[in-house]
Amino acid sequence: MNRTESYARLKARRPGIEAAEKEIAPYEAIADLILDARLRARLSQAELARRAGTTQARISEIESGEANTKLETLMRIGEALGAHIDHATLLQALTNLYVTAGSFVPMRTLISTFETEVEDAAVTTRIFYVPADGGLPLFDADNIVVGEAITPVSAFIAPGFITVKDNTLSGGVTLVASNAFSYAPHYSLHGIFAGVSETEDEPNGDEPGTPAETLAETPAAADSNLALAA
Amino acid sequence: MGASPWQVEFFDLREDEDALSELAGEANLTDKQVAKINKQVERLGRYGHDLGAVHFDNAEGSKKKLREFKIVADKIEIRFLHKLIGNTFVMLKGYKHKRRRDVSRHLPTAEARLDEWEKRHESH
Repeated sequence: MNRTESYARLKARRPGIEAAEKEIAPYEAIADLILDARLRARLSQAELARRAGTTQARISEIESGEANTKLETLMRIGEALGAHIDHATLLQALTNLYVTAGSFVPMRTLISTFETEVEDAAVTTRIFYVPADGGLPLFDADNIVVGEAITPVSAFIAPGFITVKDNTLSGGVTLVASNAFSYAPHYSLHGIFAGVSETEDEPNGDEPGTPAETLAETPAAADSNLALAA
Repeated sequence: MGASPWQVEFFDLREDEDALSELAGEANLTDKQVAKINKQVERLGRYGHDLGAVHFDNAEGSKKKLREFKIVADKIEIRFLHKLIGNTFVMLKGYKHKRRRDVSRHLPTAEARLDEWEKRHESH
């Protein structure tokens, strides 16, 4: 009996599998993207790991949809895969992963990525457009403050647990800039996160045994993708 | 990538059971583990041996040169004793791997099933 038929028969007997599929889908999407790109690039897991500054075991885990991996590591892997991976698709998959998992990336993770700009960040206002059909109104779009160099449609924002008051975010958001792979020095993320508490307000913070910079496995109801516009 | 040349088949045990449902029952797999195994087997069907050497091993002690397909599914290690026949990975017996000697317990079943599989296909 071929694989598809066997699995369909098992699913018919175990209805819980369908919910499980939805739960693992964001992780598996990342796995498929990276595996497919690595094979097209004709790289071994070990070589990809070397280029991305991680371990072969970690690559293997990611390709199995197993790992709770740091966003930064996933971005480095994307960078190492160069033109063999569709970066926009990867970013969308990462966004879906964070939103679906209800995860939260501490701001310092991203700030540290762009740490050269932290001190000089200019703060200007941009309006994030949340589509009416898929929006997750966790924040007041009119009051989002972002760094000047983040251009419209260059980033995804996955809402975390945030509030907006006096043009300042508290709590946090996950932001993945589309050209973050270049680690371009003109980013001024500090402006976005001015006022964000890095310790007290983070729902998935540094509790023992819960690395703050890894993806939570907790599923959440959120499933929207946010578009960004000027 | 074009259409995959690979096929994956689970040994049919009759009466609505096969090597996949047998594994799910014997190893008391969760729904999530079953879903993850399916994804990994789906990738085997897509990429075949290109999936990487880390997923394949010779089955130690196999007289019929069976191999093992090794995957991790939500923290547990699963192995499928199988034989590649033509372009079809025939999954004969799956088991939850804990110790190295586990394979020896499952090999006789897997090898008997290979004989059975070959008989069934001879008669077709």
